Amino acid sequence: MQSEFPEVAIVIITTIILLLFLVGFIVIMLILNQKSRLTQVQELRLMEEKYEQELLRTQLEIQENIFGNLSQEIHDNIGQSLTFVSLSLLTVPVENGSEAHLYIEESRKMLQKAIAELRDLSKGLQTERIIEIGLVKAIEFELQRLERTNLYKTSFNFTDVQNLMDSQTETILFRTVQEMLNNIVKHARASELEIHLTHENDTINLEIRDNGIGFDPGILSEKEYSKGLGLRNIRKRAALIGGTCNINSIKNGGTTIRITIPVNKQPFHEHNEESQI
Amino acid sequence: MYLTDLLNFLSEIPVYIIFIFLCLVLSLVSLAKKNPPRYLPLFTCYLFLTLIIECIGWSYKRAAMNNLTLYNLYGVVHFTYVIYLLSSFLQEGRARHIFTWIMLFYPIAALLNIYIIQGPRHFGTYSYIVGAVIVVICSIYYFYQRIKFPGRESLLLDPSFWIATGLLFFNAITVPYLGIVNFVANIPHADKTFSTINAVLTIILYSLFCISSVCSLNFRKLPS
Repeated sequence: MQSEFPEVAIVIITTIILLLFLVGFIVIMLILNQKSRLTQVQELRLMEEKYEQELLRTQLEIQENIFGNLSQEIHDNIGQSLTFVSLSLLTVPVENGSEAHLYIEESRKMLQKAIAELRDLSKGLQTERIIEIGLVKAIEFELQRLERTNLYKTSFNFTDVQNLMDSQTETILFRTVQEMLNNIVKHARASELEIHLTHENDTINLEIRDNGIGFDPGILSEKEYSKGLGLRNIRKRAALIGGTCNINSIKNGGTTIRITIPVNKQPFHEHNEESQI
Repeated sequence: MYLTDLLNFLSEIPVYIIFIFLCLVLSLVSLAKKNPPRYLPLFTCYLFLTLIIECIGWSYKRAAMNNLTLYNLYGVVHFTYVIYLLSSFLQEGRARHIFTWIMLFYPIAALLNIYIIQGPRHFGTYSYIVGAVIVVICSIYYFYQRIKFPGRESLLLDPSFWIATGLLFFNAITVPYLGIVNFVANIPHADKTFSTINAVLTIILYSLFCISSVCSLNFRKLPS
């Protein structure tokens, strides 16, 4: 019995050491695997973000091209044709003061109005013009268009933001404003809207408020969200220029959308030097 | 009288054989489930063969007969299958290709060693060392891949992790002493101690295989 004791002790000690090794090995493997999984998840998330940004940038480029073509088409073809019709109406041989003359004059006025509206629309679509006149003027111009419909009362407050953004950021921000205004016209049933463009410390704030029917952002269904694309696009565009977007809305209490862009942090430009919108 | 004999017989069965049997039962249960892992049918056959070999080997030992020829031949089948099993867990095609070739060459080399170099009635230490080293390398490569390409599924729920852990652990530890088993065979105490440690290692190995069978009851590999 005594002679067997060392053997038993050896076996027990060896078993304990082996088990400790095994447990240690499994724990180390788990830690390494977990670390690797976390890294993989982070890499995947970064790739997804990068891909989304690429996709959005391409979408914006395509959109700007389409807008450019549309603007040219409206100006060169439809505008020209309507001007020609307006001029032709002048040459219609009817007596001054006759009933037919009154109808023709009325039609000419309507045509002139349509031509003016088309011209405004064409201007709003031209990227070069937005760059030329600047963000503030472009927003003012859009609000004037809305005012002319007599359906909205608008106000625009701004501080000097010139030279704080480059032309690409201005274009994206302006397209975001257009998207927001488009949403107000389509869904909000508002009568008043305010835009505030301010500069505080290192941020530029753009805020659009309306007194429309509002919505509950919490229960805005996924289907509406994906179908409309409006709000999602606004968020994506804000992210693309390194900003954030906050949407506050109360049912029957209006909506406020606030976009905050850091002045010195615009990653879009850093990796977008080659492709110009 | 018969019952007493049976109980005496059962009490003499080594614990590691009970673990192998348990592992086989769990493997069969996993196999009966819907969509079992692809490796499982052959793995169950391997466990069944192992159980038979261990039972025969034990009965030879009880009858004081030499069972080394049996274990030498079983070793060839065991290492060939285990290399195949581990290579099937590998994701990278090139490494799998290399281990498949090794798996094809190993039995030839091992049989040549057993019958020509060391003789069938001695433990084939060369073929054992080579086989165990290949298994260790293959297991390490498997773990390297699991760290490099971790996948989405949890490591603890993956049957292949438990199998590879068991094989790495068993083979890495048994190589040093089974490699010199022929030299220490005549030392009375050393032989007994080694046999006991070997039994402990076998129990650990089949316990890990049991865990893998339990995991394969619920494990479904997510699409990558």
